[in-house]
Amino acid sequence: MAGIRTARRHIFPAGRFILGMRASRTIQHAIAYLLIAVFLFFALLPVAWMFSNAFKTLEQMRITFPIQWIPNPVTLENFADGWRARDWLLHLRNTLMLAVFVLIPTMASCILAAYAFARMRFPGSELLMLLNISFMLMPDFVTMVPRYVMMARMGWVGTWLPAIIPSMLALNPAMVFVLRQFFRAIPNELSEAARLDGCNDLIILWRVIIPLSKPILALQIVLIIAWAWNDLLFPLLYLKDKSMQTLTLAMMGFIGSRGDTQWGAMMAMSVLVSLPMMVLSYYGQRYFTEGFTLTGIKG
Amino acid sequence: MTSPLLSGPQPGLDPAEAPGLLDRLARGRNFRRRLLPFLFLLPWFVGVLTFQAYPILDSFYHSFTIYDVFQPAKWIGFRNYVNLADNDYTRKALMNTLLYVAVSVPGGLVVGLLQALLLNVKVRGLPLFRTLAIVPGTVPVAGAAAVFLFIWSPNLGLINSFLKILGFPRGQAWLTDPVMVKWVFIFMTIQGGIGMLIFLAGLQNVPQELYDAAKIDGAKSIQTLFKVTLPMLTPYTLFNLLTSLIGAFQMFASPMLMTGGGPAGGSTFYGQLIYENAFRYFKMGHAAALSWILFVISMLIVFLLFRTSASWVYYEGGN
Repeated sequence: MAGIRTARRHIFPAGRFILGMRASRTIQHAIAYLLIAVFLFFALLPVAWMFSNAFKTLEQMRITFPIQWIPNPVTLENFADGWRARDWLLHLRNTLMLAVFVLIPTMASCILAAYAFARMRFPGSELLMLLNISFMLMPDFVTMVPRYVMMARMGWVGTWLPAIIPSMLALNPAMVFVLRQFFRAIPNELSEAARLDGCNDLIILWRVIIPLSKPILALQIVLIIAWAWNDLLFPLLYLKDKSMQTLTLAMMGFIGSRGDTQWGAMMAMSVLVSLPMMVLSYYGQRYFTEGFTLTGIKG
Repeated sequence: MTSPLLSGPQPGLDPAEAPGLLDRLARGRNFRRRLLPFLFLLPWFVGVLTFQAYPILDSFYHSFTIYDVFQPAKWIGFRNYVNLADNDYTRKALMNTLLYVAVSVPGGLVVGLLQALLLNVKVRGLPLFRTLAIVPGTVPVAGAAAVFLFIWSPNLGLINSFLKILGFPRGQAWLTDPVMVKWVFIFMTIQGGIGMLIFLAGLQNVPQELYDAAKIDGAKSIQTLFKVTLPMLTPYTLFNLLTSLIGAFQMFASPMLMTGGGPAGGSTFYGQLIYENAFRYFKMGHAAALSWILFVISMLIVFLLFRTSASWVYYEGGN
């Protein structure tokens, strides 16, 4: 159908210039542009505000109309001020450590579980998957307290073990589910061919499934780094010690200790904390769309 | 070759009982093949038992006790549940959460859908607009908290400065007013975010033929929207509804960072309620009861949505 219409358009280009159609199309586009502009203005306002005010002195922050988006003169005092307040490099290191400690064992255990769910037949697989989906949709707060008490009893609080051990046990039901959906969509012929060549499941997983799942695995990596960068609950419970605090927890202390007059330093540190995530998300978004469309959510 | 774990004490595998070498090999391989999935799932099983099932059962037991971790738990029957209903602080947090769920979830869904529809209109510069639309969602919560603290602040804040220009010189105490503060959080979280991305992905999956057919039948845009686009988006709507409902109960970081739940519990939501009961007041019994209520609520939501989904979610190909 679409083919015929495009063909007609090329054969009778005059058809596009029928007056009424053209006018209504123009109006529609004008309205769309207007709405997109309004939406983007409000969506981007806080971000622009953060960047703009990070470079302003307290005097310049008083709002005048029209709003001065690019301050004159530009000050870097806020960044120096914010940087001195805390050992940000230490908190950055802790954040990256948390990401790595969670990422590697989670990937290993979830890939194994997802492969079993997607590619192997065993009694009760449907039921266990349903269980996994239930855990996926269960808020973390349900198990938070008993988990903490367990880990405290074992003396793990204040170490990195609460990040590492649960990660080894595939305690990321969402990842198990998403990977299973993706693995299931990979054509069976590929793994069967490998099996006829004498490969066992581990080799098939390593040589066939994982190389074909790069976009979804990349997405999972981005998501875990973003989690380590964003999460407050986990560090609040397990990484309370100053030497272990992640960026979010450090920001919490930083925000709490600032009075009404230190907005500049707060905005400057927000910019510094936000920029790496904005860059990462920019590169991660294409995996998101790719992974999401290919995986499907139709069960 | 075979690890001891794989060739455990299985009677059929005992060499003395096995009739022939070939048969034995075949059986061994078969057995291994049947065991292999469970081996792959071993970490998952251990995780489910130790960090999911056990905590849920543990909460269930402790929700009927007085327990402060330091002394053994004491059985008190349903008193925790009764106390929760009586406690002002708890009731406030529960009301805040319900309000948040009732306003922010449908609001976020509608806004996300509208944004996605808007970013699906084929205009020039669309890729740039889509990239820009994603930017606010990429700001980490710590950064966003600081910025919104600034924007809603009484003196230098953007909102109050704007109100001043409109002729309200005194402005409004947003984050320090126990009634207003929860609305700030509700309003702040009504945004498309990841829901918009998911709707946008869904819009790409609507087959062009359906739009063409609708056009030939003379359908107006609004009819196409309600008769073609929205029905085709229902699987994505279900997904967004599930995740945002569950997410609403997870709301924790931004109030903790911005107001600490105050003033006077005005911005305390469910997650923080459990957190404070457990780790500030050491009322583990209360925390356990709250955890269990949350568990029941979330499973009920999932069950109801899946049960009713057959009647309103359209799966292409009648799946």
